[in-house]
Amino acid sequence: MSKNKPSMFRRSTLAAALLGAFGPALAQSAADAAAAADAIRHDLATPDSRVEAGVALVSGESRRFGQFSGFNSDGAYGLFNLDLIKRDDATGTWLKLKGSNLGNENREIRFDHERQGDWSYFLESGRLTRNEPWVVRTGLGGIGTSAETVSAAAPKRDVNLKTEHESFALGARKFVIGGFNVRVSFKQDEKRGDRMYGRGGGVTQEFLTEPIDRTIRQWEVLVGYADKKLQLSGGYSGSSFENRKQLLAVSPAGGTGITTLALPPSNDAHQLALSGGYNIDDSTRTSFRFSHTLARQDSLFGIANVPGKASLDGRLVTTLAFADLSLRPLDRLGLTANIRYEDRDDQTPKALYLPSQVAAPSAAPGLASAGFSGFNVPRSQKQLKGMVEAAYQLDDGYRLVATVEQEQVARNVPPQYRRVAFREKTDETLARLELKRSLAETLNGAVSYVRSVRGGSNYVNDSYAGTAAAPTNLVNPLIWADRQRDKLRLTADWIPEERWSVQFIGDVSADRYGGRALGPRTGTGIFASGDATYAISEKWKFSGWVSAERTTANQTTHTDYASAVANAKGVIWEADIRNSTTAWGLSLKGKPRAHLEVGADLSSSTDTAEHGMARLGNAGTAADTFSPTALPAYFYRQLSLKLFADYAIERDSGLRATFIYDRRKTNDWTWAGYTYSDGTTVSQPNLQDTSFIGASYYYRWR
Amino acid sequence: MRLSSRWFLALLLALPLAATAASSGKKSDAKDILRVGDARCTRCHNDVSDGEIENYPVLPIGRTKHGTVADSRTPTCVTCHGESETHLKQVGTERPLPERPFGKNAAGDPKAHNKACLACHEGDRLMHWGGSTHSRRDLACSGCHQMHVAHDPATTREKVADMCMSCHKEKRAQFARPNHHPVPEGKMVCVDCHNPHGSAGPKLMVKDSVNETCYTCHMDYRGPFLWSHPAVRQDCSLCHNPHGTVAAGLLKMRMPFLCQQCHEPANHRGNFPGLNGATTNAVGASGLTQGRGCMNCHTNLHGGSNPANSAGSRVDRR
Repeated sequence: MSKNKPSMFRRSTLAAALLGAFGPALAQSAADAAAAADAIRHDLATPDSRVEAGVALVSGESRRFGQFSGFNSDGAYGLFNLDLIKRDDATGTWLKLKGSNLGNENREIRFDHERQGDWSYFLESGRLTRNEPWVVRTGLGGIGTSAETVSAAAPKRDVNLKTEHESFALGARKFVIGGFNVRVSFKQDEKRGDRMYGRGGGVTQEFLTEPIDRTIRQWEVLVGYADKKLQLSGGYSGSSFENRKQLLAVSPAGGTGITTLALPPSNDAHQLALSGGYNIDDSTRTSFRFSHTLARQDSLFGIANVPGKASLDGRLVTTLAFADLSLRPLDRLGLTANIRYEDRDDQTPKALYLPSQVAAPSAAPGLASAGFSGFNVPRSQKQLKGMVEAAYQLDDGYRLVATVEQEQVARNVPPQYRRVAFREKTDETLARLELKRSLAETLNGAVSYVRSVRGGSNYVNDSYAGTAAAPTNLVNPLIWADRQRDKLRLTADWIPEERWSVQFIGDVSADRYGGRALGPRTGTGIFASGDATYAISEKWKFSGWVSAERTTANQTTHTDYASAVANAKGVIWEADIRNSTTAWGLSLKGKPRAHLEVGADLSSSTDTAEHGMARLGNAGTAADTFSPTALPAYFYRQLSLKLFADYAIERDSGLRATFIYDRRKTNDWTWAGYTYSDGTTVSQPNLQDTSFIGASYYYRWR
Repeated sequence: MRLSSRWFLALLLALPLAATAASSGKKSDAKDILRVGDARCTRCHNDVSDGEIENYPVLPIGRTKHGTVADSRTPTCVTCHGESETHLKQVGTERPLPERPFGKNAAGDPKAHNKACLACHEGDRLMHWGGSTHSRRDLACSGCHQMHVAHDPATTREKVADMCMSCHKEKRAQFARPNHHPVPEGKMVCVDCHNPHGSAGPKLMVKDSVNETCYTCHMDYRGPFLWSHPAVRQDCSLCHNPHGTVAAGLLKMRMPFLCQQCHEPANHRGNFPGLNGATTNAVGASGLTQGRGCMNCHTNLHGGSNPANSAGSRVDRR
């Protein structure tokens, strides 16, 4: 049998060897060697602790590299990780303290204390900073407050935005008599900072920041029960979102006329739930879940309104019922079925908030308020979904799996529906067939084909336009359009010999939309990926992978008859969106010396996006012949090289060195040349090279 | 030089030990290592020979919860691997595998193998395992979990994403895109959103729906709002790919193309997207396309809460 020779055991080996060679008697030598082996076995079976400390240097442009990692600027950073584990074998009591990235702003620490099978509790705390990779150059005043001032004339300065999470959690569990256990937990996440925001209308777009000062809290009390036949888990879960900045005042009114923006309102939700499972016999099991949730939003508006309401009194009641059954009626046949029903009942009271926007449904197209009732529109929805699957074991290692799924969704229809074609009901049927075969002990493969077809009730005509033939009633909205989806997937695992293993996965998919003249028409996807690992020797291992994905979406719309844009009235045009991703990785890991481990990972990813556009014709009576020009394609490339070495100084201590070179390049035009009406610009270096070098010392003990 | 010395010393050791082992034939006297009765297995599977650790040691199970002998619920070798009499009493030249060998050898009958685990672990987070996608696709527990290592990759936050992406390869490439949840950085893991053991939600979501799962962190979009956006209420994943996108905001497609997939062409919504300074595609088209796209104006499109009697309220502009 092959062996590895970690240096941590070098001393034991040497000690045993010395004793074996120079001991006074053969039997004594054998006994000592056996004792050394027993010591190693004891170490293998005993939980160990580890502490690691060191320093890292980061240089170069690291806005993307450090977006979440905390290493987002030049300089030195502390590296400190901790993993303390102690178990009292007599009582089965664990004590754990784990800290990660303790020398960094994105640190995490967790403490666990548990008597296994009896009680446990934990405390944890963490920080996460998201650094905005874009640099904003703006004259906006009042960033971070609830009152901002827009001024094109104000001197511009660079602003680096970020949001910071600071969280803690605690929980406990107690096993009580008769297979019952009780679990409680609480988690709080404070989020502070600023992110990009804005106000706009017409040709005016002004940069704002959204002040973030929020707290999320989640708590849970669950009771569980388990025996060989029946398992249950149920209880109460609650959560709340508290926003301490719910309004943003902006001055002056400017071209948009907007002086107050409503930020996300505080809300809370409360859920009662019961899940269970029952083993009917050795091969038949059923499980279920029932939950009832009340989500409330009753934050004070703080803004005068026509109904004179202080708050919305928003209430969304969600009821979920789910059950499944899996059985094996024949040795060769397995059956699974499930059914899921979800009712989202929006009980938010309606009121006439926008009387200024009320107009008769028959009002002429182009009238901004036409077809709008002025009331808020609660959104309710009922979904029923079921699935049946049969898997049959054929001869010669073949296995056939057939699946049928059916989904029905029903939505409430507002008395007047505006702007987007609406569908009260949609239904979708999916059929899937898979053939698997274990071609040999070393080769497995599967091919599957899926077709799903979605349709639904007649569209509710857009009350804005009034007539079914109006352009606004020609769109097939993606979210409920008629759709046929086909997908073919092939997978294979191959182990040609003990040292080699190869995996392949590939799929091709196509969506076809129909039912109306405009909107999404087709979508396609091709994905292929292969992985291979090769054990060069007992000490060296190589692995590599490559993935490629291509997706397309084709959709149509047309410009407005009443557009003020010269030469572009009523032109029907298509967008042809193409995205592609090619990514690969190579990895080499080895152990050139007994006390030295080394490794290298090289990976690359390239994404490209193309946005083709073309004129298809004219709508209505318009006669314009303008053709749109495609937007420039853009790419995003990432190349990363990571080298590491681990040198064991002694049995339980060593040095670890890591070097990372990270390059990101793009020609993304999201913000290129774009200037807000207030003069704000946003940019990032299109080429970002980052180097990271870290060295640390670690020590292990038991 | 040091290496040569060690080899020499090891050789000196090996010779007398080999002689001792050959003469004593002591396997039947093997002692239990972890728990009472395990000598039946550990007389062979004892991880150390010639002073060195074998490549796939089994004793590190002693570092895990399964190896906590004070907990009477923890299994013995036989509990999981079966009595394996033919494996113990080898007849012929090749030793048969144990009754339940796990690892890649579990692929032959994963449901039978999983039964060994479910005998203790059924219920709780595995309540819906039986009908879950992974169960129906014949995934064995040991396809993800490693029981004989100190830190099971499937339950170790630093390793779990790599393990999931070894099968879900398309996600590996998506997480390399410029906009992604911080999974590659280790600040989130797949199991924060998905329960691989099954759930009552779609896509193995940890909560009962996609939206409810997203609200765990993004509760600011929960509402209910005064002015709600039907697509937002229906399913966050209609517009967002949470694993990674080229477009900012984890959007599946850039604005305005994304919005034009549903919104009718009246007024400005069917206009050609364009870039600032371009002479084609209309004046002002950059406001639809660049910066925050449609959100340059419709800044609260996840849902608006402004009750002011103004058109800007209902279209999430204020």
